[in-house]
Amino acid sequence: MSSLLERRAEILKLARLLQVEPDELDALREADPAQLRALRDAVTDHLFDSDARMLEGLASATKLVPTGAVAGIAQRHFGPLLCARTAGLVEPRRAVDIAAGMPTDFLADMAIEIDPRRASTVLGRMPTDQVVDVARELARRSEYVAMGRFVGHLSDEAIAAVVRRVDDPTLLHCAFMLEEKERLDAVVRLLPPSRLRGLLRAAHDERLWPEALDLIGQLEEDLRERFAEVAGQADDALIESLLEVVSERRELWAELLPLVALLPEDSQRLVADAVRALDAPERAEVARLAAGSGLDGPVGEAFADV
Amino acid sequence: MEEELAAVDGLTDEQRAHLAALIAQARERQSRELHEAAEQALSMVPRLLRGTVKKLVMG
Repeated sequence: MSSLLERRAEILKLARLLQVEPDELDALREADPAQLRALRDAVTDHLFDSDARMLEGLASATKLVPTGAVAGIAQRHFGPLLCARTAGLVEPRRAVDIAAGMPTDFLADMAIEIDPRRASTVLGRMPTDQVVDVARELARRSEYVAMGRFVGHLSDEAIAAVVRRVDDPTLLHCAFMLEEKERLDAVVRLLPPSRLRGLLRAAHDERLWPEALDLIGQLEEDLRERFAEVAGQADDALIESLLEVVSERRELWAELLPLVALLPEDSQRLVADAVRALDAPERAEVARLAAGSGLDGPVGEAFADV
Repeated sequence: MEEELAAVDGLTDEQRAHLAALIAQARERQSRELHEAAEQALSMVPRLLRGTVKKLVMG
C-alpha cells in the first residue's frame, strides 16, 4: 500500500476508536503510517487499561454464575461495551460457550467495542457459522474497520467461510482496513475468476478503485497477473472508470503505474491516453513516479516527451 | 502518553492539545459508560449482598 492510502486507513481507524470524524485528525495527515499505527495501539491500550481493576472484578464475579445463565444476564445487565471489555478476561473456552448463547446483533455490537488482540484466543475458537453471521451483520452496518481488525485473529476456516459469504464491495472495504495484510494472498487464492471479476466490477460500480488498487498492489506477482488478465477481458469501460478516478485523485497514479505492465496492450493504450491528457506539470510528476516502474510500451511512449 | 510517540512529533502545541483532548474525551466517555453498565450489572445482585459485591468489584 502506498503510504498515502495506508495513512488514510490508519486515520479512519483512529477516528473510529476515538469516536470522532476523521477530519478532527487532520493534523496527523502527514504522519508516517507505522507511527500512526503505534499511536493507535497506544491509545487503545490507554482506553482499555483504564478501569482494569473493575473489569477484572466483574469478570471474576461471572465465575459465580453458571455458564448457561451468563449470556442472558450479560445481555440484559452488562450491555455490549462491558461484555467487550471483559471478554478477554474470561477463560477462553467459557467465553466461547457464553458467546454461543448470544444473538448475532449483540455479538456485532460487542465486536465493534472489542480489542481483538486481547480476545485473540476466544476469537480463534469461535464456531465458523457464528463468525460468518457476525461478519455479515457487521458488513450490513458497514463496520469495515471492526472487520479488518478481526481477520488476523480468526481461524483459516472461518476466514474462508466469511469470504465466501460477504459481497464484493464488502471484501474490498475489509481488505483496505485489514490489519494483517500478509493474509491477503491466502484469501485471494480462495477466489475463483468470477469473484475477481466481481471485485473489479464493484470497484467500477461503487468507485472503490483506491481500495481495489490497494488490494491488488499488496499481492504476489501471480495473483496480480490474475487480476490483470481479468481486467483485460473486461470492456474498456472498466479501465476508463479506473482512469477517471485516478485522474481525480492523482496520488493513485503511484498505485496504478506498477500494475500497468501486467495489462494487455489495449488497456495500456487507454492508460497512455490518460497520461497524454495530463497537463505538462502533472505529466512530469507522474513520469517521476513511473521512473521506478520500468514502463515501456504505449505508456512509456506517452512519457517520452516529458 | 502521546508525548512519547513519534506520530505527534510534527504537531504544533495547539494540535497536540487538541489530540490529547480527543483522547481524554474518549477515555472519559468510555469510563462513564462502563461504570453505568457496571452499576446496572450489579443491580441484579440481591440488595443484602450488593454493597459487599460492589466494594469487591469496584473498589
